[in-house]
Amino acid sequence: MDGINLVNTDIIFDSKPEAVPYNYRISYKVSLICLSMALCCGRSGCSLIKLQMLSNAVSNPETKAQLLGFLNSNLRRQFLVRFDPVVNRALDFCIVDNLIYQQANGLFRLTQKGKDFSAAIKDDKDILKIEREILDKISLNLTEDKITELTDYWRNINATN
Amino acid sequence: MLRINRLKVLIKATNKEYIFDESFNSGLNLLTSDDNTKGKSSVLIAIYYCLGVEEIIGGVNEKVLTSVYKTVIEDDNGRWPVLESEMFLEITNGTDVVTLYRAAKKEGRDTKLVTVYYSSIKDMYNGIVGVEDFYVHMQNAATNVNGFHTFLENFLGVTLPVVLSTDSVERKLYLQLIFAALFIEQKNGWSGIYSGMPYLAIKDSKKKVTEFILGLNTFDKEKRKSVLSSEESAIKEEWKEVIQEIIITQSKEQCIVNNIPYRPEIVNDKFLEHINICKSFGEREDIQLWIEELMKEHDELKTVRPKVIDNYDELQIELEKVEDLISESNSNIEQLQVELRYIRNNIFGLEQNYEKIAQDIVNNKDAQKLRDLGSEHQCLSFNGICPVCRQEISDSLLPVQHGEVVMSIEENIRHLTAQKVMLSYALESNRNRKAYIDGKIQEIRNQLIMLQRLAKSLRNDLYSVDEDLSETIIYKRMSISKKIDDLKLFIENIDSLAKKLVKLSERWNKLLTQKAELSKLEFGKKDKVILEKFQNHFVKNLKKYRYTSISNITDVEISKDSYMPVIDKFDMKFDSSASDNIRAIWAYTLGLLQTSREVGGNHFGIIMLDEPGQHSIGSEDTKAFFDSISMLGDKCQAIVGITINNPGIRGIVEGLDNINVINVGARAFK
Repeated sequence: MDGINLVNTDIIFDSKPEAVPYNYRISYKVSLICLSMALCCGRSGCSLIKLQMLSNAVSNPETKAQLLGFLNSNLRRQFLVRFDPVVNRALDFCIVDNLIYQQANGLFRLTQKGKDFSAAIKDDKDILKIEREILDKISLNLTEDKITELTDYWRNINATN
Repeated sequence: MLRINRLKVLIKATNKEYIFDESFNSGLNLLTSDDNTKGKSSVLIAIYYCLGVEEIIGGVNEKVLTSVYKTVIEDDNGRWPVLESEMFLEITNGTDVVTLYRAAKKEGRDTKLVTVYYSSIKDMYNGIVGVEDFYVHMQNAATNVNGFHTFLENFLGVTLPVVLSTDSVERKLYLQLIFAALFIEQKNGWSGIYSGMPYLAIKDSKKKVTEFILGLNTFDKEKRKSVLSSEESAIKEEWKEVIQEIIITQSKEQCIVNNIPYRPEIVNDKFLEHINICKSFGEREDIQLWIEELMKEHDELKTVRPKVIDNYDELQIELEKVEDLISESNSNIEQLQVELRYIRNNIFGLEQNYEKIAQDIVNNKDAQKLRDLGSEHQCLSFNGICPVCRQEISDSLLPVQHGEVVMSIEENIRHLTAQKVMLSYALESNRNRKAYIDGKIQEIRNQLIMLQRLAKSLRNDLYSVDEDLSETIIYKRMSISKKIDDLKLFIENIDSLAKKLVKLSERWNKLLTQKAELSKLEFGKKDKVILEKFQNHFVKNLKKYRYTSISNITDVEISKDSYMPVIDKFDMKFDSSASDNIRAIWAYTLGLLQTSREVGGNHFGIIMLDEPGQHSIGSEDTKAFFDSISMLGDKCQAIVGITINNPGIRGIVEGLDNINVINVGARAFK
């Protein structure tokens, strides 16, 4: 078949800029981590697992209900924690941006800059409204002890002799 | 106008009663002391307090007052606890004199209570003097008859304009806002023009105050605008109702009415003639033709003898036809119902997506705000810079391939907004389609009922005795004659509705004309003249007080949008040094008074300034300022609190004629 050459020049494909969901933005995740540490952590510091749990709880109503159910019940020991690499990456940014530091015991704490930043977020009542509501509800109930209990349970659950 | 005649303050302490009692004249009154912290500001605060405008200082009721009124008073012998404190302010509007009494600390007396004695301070305890109590800082204090500011408004003989609040509710322009333009307080009054104005949720409050003081016509315009806009929405609503009625009746009668505008417009004379009604099914013929046809059919049926025996075969054929039609209609309904289900699902899905996107936009806007907030806190990663190696990074926590471009938050918001628009469009078209199908199903069902009835009559006829009357023919005749009547009534109905539209269109025409006239008024000639005068006064004042931050002072303009001084369309404040900023406030405050007097505006004819000599303002300029106040003569009153702590100022004060100097000495309260 005699092909008709319709295209005389080369075709160049340009990649279009890709949309990024808001919860994968550096600004959003980093701010959320700072805010959750300010609202849900006491003086002793905050573990990575806790940050993962909090970050997952604010992401949708279902996970929120799961975490609140876990916190309000003394009988439920099983809880599935979703480890999101995005949180780890955001935490890296928090550390290099000097918002958070890691203590010798491995737990994380807000630096003065981090505290100032989260205070500024708290002052603006219009941002992170829903997230704030959930974090306020969780408040200080998710203790490190509870998390240790949970990880111990993981360790033992499938242990066989 | 408002004049302060006399102020009397009584403070009862544990040791004795302290008194400040001085009279004020028209023209310039100087409240002086040799040093700071002698009680000048406390005296001036008493005036704010008695007038119920202490919000300008920064709060309501006694908490804004200095400690001498509330806790401790100091004298040479020590500090004495305050037991009671009260203030009396004698004011006049030119004809009547009243005394305002308000307590700052008195057991059993509410600080929100202001007692008005209809006499001077001297005669207030005379038995025949009328006394009335009013309240300040309570709900509706500005509009209630027992509100003190309602009294003050009447006493001053002004009508405060109704303005829009930030939540679009109509409110009276508060007196506190107006006084903030006349009384400049020491602590925050000198940071800018109108900087002491309290926030009372009035839209464009600064602009409205200037408009009121200068007596600009825009208020009248706004009022007319709001009348017109309510008329506009009324017409639109009535128009919509008429159209709705037409739509409902037309589908009931299986007709379509053409050439009816769906939104208000000015219709031409031939509008009524152009309205055309036609059949909505089959061939789109005119309603008159349809009626004629129906009448013909009706007449034909009349000639048929309604006996069954004559048309047995015909009945059989007709029954088949009708049954065909019934099954066709049934299958039509089924098809439509399938489509309806599909559309319902569509709408449900679209609505969910729409909500999700709306939430996404909110979250992205949050992320944007957080990014800006983080930049303020020097978070490098928020600005797309790696805090470790200082290289550019993309704003994403997902692994980014080399060369891949990531949307910025702004782009993302735009992208989502575009999606939202698309979804709302899809939603709307689906909803329209759903409404159409609903109507269609209803229509077919109505038809079906008729057909079933007809089929039933046909069947009855087929099985009846030969000599019986044919039920079908009678039923047909009846239904046709009913249809004809209905259609005739429908035509009449549409006619009267169309006439309604014509009337509405006349109103619409009038409204548009009025609107056009109003926009011509944009900046009335009179307003222009007033603003020019204001600008001249302002610039003249600036020159007098040796404003030097701008080389060419004649370039300064009063903005027609905000009535603030601008240079090259930018706020003049940005170009001013600290002391020049003070000069600008002098020039503006005095300019308002000068202009209002010239053009018959609403200025109360009083200004009160606490320590106008802020920053490095020289005594020469202060003299120029005092001179311009004195030039206004007796027709206005200025009360100025000033510390005489250098020989320059002392010389000036001593050199001034016709002024009332009240020296508080070592202590204002003795």
